[in-house]
Amino acid sequence: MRKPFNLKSVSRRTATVFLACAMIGLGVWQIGQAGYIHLKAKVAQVLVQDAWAETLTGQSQVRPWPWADTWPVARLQIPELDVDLMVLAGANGPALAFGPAHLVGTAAPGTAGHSILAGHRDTHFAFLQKVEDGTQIRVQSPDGAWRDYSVTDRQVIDSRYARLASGNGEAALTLVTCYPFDTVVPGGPLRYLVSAFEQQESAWMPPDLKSRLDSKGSTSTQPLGEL
Amino acid sequence: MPAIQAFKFSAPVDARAVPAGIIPPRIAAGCGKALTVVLFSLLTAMALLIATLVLLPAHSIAARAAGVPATQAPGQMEDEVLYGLFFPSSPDGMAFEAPQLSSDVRIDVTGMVARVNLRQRFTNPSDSWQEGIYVFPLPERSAVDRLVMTVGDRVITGQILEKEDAKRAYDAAAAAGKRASLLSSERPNVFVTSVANIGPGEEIIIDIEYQDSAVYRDGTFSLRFPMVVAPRYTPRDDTPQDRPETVDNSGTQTLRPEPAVFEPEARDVFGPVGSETNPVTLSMRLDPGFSLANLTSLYHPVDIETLDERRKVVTLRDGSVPANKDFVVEWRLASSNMPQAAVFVEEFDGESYVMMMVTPPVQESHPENLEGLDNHPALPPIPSRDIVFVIDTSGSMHGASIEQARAALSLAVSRLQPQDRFNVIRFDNETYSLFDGIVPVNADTLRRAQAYVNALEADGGTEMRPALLQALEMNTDAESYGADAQSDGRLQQVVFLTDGAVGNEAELFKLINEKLDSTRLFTVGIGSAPNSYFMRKAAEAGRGTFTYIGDPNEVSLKMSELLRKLERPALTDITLGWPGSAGKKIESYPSIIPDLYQGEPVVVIAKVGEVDLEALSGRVLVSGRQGIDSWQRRASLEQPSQAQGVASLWARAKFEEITDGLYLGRDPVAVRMDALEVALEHQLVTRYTSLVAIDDEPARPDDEALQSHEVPRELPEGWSHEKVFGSEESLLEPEPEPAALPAPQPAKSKIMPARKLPASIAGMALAAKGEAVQLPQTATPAALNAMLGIFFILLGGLLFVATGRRSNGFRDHA
Repeated sequence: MRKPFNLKSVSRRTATVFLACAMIGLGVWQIGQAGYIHLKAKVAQVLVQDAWAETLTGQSQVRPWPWADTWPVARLQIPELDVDLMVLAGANGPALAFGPAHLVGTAAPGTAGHSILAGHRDTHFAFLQKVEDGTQIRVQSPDGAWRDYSVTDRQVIDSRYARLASGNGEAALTLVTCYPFDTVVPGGPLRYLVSAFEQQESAWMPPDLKSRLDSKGSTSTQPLGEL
Repeated sequence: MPAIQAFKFSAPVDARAVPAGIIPPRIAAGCGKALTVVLFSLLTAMALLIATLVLLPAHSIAARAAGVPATQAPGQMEDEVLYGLFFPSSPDGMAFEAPQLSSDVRIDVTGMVARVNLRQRFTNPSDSWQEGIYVFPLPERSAVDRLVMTVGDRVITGQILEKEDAKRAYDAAAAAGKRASLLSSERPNVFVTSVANIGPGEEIIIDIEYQDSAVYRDGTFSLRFPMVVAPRYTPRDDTPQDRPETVDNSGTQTLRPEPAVFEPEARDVFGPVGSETNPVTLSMRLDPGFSLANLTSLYHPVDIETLDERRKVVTLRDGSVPANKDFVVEWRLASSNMPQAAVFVEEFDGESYVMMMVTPPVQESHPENLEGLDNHPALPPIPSRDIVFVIDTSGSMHGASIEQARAALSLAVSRLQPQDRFNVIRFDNETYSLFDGIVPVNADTLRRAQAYVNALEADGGTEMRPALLQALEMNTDAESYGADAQSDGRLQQVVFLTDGAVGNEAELFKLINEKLDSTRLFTVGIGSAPNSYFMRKAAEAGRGTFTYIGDPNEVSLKMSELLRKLERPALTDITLGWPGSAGKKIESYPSIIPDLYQGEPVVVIAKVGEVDLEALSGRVLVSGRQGIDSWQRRASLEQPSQAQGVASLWARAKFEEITDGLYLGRDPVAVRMDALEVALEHQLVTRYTSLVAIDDEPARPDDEALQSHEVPRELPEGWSHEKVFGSEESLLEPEPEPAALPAPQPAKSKIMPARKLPASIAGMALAAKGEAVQLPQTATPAALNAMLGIFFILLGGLLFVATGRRSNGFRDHA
């Protein structure tokens, strides 16, 4: 008969203390979660950077860590804002935790055509609120070529009604993130779009790429000659 | 305090009674203070956060003030001009199979200048107001310069505006209920007509006029009209559930219509669909300037009416035709009449424009056919060549195309000469080459090449760039191997067989420009509707020629023509000398006349400006070189034929040359400015300009909504529709029983059939609202986590303080 008695007597103080500990524990865990999200976002980018370096040497779908279900497909830079991000394949939840991601079904980033990249508004794409018309964006595709884009338009849209027009074959880039930037609760239909078009002068191949192509030579010569 | 007593008895709990017993009161008090401080700071943090939340709306307002467009209600967005790539529209991806469209084509040819009138009739069989959006092909070098909209007895002529301005004006008119029409160019050979506010049961006629020129080659003129506009493709009326669900998963945005099957038995909800639906009628008046030797339509049955010795009228025999082939007419002049030069003139805005065609002298050394070669020992030998054949074996070549390509390639390989060297490269998403490099022609290599070619199958993606790069470099390498290559005077050639279904055209042009060197690139277009814009441009950049093989029966003929060209050096360094032009500005295009191959004429279009034609009264001197021989020829300007449209063609040529500057690294802003000036002055629809026609008076009552619909083009075979019946509201209803489909449905007779358009078509119309896109959720719960964390710590801390106080109080009391 000691137990119920004990419990009863304990409940007043210990339970409160226990509850307080639990609360603090919960709080620490939640803050940890928040920190983890940001840490993951930062650390993953470092790992992806290595994977991208390998991609540039001609490998494809280099997984940044063995169990990753995504791989880098492009590199995005905004020198003005000191942004340097690795873009991952497939804009799904897991991939977005590690970096901005390329929306499947849109043109590959850094190629002619319209490419859409999505990123978290509070981690990788938080800088989008600082982007202005005319901001220069560079995108490197796996062949090492850089394409320069210039921001022409920013707008807020309702994602439930978003439609993609393919454009006229010009190289276009749209960066998407959630809007508004500073609400606490995630979700909601609004999206912030930054549209950028290729600056035509860079359509000319940069000399460094030219030399790289030269050195690559005919790597893909595969005689199929057993005929 | 019995509770405390009990507390003291229970050993295990005692161990946890830290605040009460073990910690000295001073430390406990310190802890309390520390906690208070922590709590206070946390409270402050929280207050700050709450403040942020409360101030959020203010943030947004600031953001708006800073130029970020405000969020709009979806309903409003429909009418809003958005410059992004997104168009808000109804949440479903449905397009409607109406309004109906018929096309009527009239072509007038004078000499080699063609004026084409394309009349599109939009009718709206529904009982709601509609917007029709229609994507269609035109020849890639056409100069579209006129748009006229006719509604009842109102005739509105289109105005040329910068593309964005035109779109804005059109959207505004559409929103205001006015009848409006917009003609814009999505690509040089893809145009879009949008017509807003077609009333219930109403008909709107859109007339589009453009200028084109016949192509002269080997004594034959040919003129082409793309025909993928004819009858509406409708799904089969048998088992609808058997239809494949999806359409065009490839995601390629290139215009690449494949052969379409026209099914007379096909029907839709309005009843059977036969040749009477969406018909195309076509008639062509031809005045070649001289008497004709023959006149043929390559792919369509036609009736030819003879007006007099020279003039003919060609009409499609059946009035309307299946739309699976481009309409191509070829004619030859009676050989005695074949002029060495033809000159056409138009006065425009007080200035004279001259189009001139000069045929270079046929070199005596040219054998008319190769078989005759052996009989002419006096002929100089065919120069030895390094040829790399590149063949596209991507999935788009599947079927008849790959067969044609195989036949063409096999023929080309069989015509190689013993002194030649060659290689064969095939590509899909990978590039494979038959030999390691260029190999000499011998029995063994020829046998292997033939076996390789015959075994080719089409499958996979289209990665053209590596293949092209490899082919161009292979030649360069071969050249650098032996110094003999150059001294031999070897011709370096790349023959590229493809349907040109690529998206990265600009990139490929760049590559060609950079890597070409002394190599010449010859493109061969395969299939019923290849991307000839790309292939012509590629050949231009590669300083070779473009050959189009549209029909399996043509393979031998067209390839022989090409191979003859390959066996002869080109005519180079062609220059023009204008008489009496000293100190006067004569602007002629192409400004650098490309190398010419056998059978090709020199064609230039010049603006003679203020120079009086009379003053020129002399002859234009055309001179050039072939190998080591030079030649020259004079074209008389004295008795030119008048031909309407030369000015437009000149403007188109100038525009082309200006925009080609983009591939050569010119400043895009400067290019745009220059190009705009030309396009606006000559009323051309280009990538920078559109024609827009707007009625002054509103037609649609304010309280009725405008529905935007695409009018589908004839769909190539292999594409199928997901057909859903009913209006927008009834989309939610279950589909009617398949068995009920063929039967007329009186209740729905006025309701549009809706369906999903293939992405490649929907994507082409920028105005056509585009494809639905799923934007992912892009916010992490990090902020929420942090706030919850702070909240819990705060709560826990408060509880701690409370317990701490209480235990302290107890101790004090004891």
